[in-house]
Amino acid sequence: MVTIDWTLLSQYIISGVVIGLIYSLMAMGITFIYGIMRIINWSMGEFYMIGGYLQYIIITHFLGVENWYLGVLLSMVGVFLLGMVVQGLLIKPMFQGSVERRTEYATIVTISLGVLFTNVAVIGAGPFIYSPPGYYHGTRILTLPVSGTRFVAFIGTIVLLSLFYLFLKKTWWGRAFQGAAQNRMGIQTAGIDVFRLDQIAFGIGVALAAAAGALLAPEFYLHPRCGSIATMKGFEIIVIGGLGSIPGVLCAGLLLGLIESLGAVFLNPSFRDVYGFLFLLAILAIKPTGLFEERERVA
Amino acid sequence: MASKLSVQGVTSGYVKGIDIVNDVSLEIQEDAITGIIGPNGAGKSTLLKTIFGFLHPSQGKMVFNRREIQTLSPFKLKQLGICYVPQDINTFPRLTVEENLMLGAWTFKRQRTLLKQRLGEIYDFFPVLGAKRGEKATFLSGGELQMLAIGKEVMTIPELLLVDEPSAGLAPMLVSEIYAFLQRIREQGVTIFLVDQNITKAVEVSDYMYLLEMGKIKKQGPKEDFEENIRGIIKDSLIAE
Amino acid sequence: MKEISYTKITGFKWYSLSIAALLLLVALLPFSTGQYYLQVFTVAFYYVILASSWNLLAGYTGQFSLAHHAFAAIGGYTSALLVTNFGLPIWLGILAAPLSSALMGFILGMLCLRMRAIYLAIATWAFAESVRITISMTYEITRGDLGLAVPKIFPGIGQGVAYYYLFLGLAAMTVLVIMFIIRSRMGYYLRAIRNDEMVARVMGINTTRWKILAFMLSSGIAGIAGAFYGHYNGLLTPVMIDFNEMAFIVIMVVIGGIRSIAGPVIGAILIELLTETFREFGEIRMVVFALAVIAIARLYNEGAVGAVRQGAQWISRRKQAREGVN
Repeated sequence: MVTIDWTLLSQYIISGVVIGLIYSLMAMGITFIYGIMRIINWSMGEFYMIGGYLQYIIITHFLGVENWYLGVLLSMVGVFLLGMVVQGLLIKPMFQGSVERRTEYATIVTISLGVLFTNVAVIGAGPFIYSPPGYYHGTRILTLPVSGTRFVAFIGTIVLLSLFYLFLKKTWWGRAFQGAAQNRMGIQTAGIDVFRLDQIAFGIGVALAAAAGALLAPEFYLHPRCGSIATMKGFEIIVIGGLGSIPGVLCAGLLLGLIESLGAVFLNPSFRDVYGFLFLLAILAIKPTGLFEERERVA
Repeated sequence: MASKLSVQGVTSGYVKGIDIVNDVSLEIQEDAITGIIGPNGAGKSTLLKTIFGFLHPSQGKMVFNRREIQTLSPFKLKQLGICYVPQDINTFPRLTVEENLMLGAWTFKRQRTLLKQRLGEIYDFFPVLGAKRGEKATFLSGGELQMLAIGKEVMTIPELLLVDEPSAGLAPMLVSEIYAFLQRIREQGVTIFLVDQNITKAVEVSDYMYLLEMGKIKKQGPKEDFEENIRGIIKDSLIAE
Repeated sequence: MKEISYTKITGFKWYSLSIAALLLLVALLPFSTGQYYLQVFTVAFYYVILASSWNLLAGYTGQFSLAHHAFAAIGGYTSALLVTNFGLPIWLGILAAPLSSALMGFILGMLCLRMRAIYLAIATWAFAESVRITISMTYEITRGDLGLAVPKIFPGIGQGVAYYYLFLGLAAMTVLVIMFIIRSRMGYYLRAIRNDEMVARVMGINTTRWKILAFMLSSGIAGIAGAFYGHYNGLLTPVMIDFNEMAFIVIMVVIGGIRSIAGPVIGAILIELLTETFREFGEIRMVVFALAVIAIARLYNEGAVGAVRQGAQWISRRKQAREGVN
């Protein structure tokens, strides 16, 4: 009989939930972009990394650590603009008739973009690891003592996800995005410039990744390759949760965090990442479209 | 009567080199219902898509309110006052009826009172939509969806309304309702360009008609010309290659 | 991306002559360069094998898999582990490698049978990452990031020439095999599948069989390549299964010319040469490559091969114009 230390268990569970939710932010961006444009942006991790770097520069050179939340917002705005530019140059042409094999093109271009950004980061910022100052003092979430950074990231994620949800459900543009994911032609007959919508959607998606990067920078440190882990977790989440499904992302994020945490507790802690992946492979084998199946687009 | 839309020598298709619409010229008169009939594959839907900017003609031009529109994007045309109800049900399945209609009002979304008024008018004419305004569109029946689809596009009170097969797959009673609606809004000053497989119905409701076959206009004239010859036209269109 | 149809470039004579000249150059290379560049070319030939076999699956069959590097790693580690742990002779280990990688290719292919392009990309990515994690985690067996020492085919130092010809031969064989496949009935089926799978099925092509076969062939070849690489390099690390390696392969094939036989060859050799020659420029190399890929994909998507082809056509048109005047 194994005696269960409930406090410890609850701490592990909460810890898993926290980290899972934060990675959901990243996955939300991936899924949102997919929902509107039906492409996978393989360079999401690099936008995460850029978000982290931008945040670092802003708070160490301009605003100071106390204004870290402003830094997060500003880096989101910066990456949003970058995303719009990238989309306009590289992705938009896909929808204007000049590209024949769209998925292949999007994969090639976004993978290359990732390589480009990573290496530019090395050139620009050097292959060093930066450690941004922590945003907040250590505190507790229920039974779990957490670092200030993780706490901040958790609250920040909840705020951002809630805002995103409200935006989608309650605003005109949010409704337009929902509509675009369901029926692209219907958006165009309604008088909405669908290419503009695409561009903004891409910007929002990568801005979410940047937010995750900015929030987690003090926790996981900044270096040019820091985005690849985030990408990995992000993709795990969307596979498990189902492409294009927003509730799917949330569920999957929490599930992933829980599985990794519990696996680390009850099995071998050094195989932490493996458990999530095993679950992912199981999902791929049993229900490849994810827990919340992708809803087909009408037009 | 003035010409609302003038299509001049338009050729277009989905694939370069394969022309579905072949050198088509027609005039759509203001405040009238113009119908276009023809066998399957004649190019009627393609013509409508070309007018609304989903396809750009390789040749020819189109003039609307004295403005050339053949290079414009769909959303621009909507802003200019042309609305399009496609053949396939064009609603947002996972949004509510009201949200669907509201998106149709995008071009005047800031004018709250006008928006409320229009919504009321649509609900007046299609009470079933009013009754189900909070339900997701996916729960509607076929006929209700068609009403929603049309209602969504006419939220803006178009100057020119392009309708592709409004009666397809609907029960006769619903068909009458939809056509009654079209005639009602015609009285409100909407010019209508209508594609229909149902030749009898089309002749009944149109003022002027075109017959399209293999991408070319084979016959045109006021409804009387077509009324007399309905049997012959139906027979020809069934035999048409 | 438009498909490159296999057309003859301005006269069979020039074409085969230039190929022969190239082959001669390549065969005689060891006599004119030092050990360093010999190694560079050897590695380049390794990448030729990887690029060509991936192109078979992705370029010709339209299955844009992101797991190719994983099959090379599977083959490499299989052979290495069999040889070091069970004392198998090297040639037996190398023979076993494609068995395991093709088996995994079979499994992956079956998993991805009904998947659309997006899901295929994600599934293959997930597969590759799983293999990577497995290799890293089972470090007691695979030595993880420390690297697994592998017995060499030609032991001792100064064997550069031997390895050069070995990999040259392997690369040539691979290209020939793939050329043979592409020009055969199977190649026709694969290209039909890529063009429109549903239409292919309607035409009576057993898309399942040919897709699985393409998976197994490309993964099997990659496995062999990986095994040979292990026994050449003397060391295997999880670096070879990093996603960067896959990006590298994609870059090579796109720049060289996807969906052509010469494309992966040109791309692999070109990129490997450039990477080594400009080593001191560090990350700028990758920036340039990435930009080149983006530009090619965005503007002019047939890569180096396409450029050569267009150049040849332009020359022939000029020639015809001149002759027409006379």
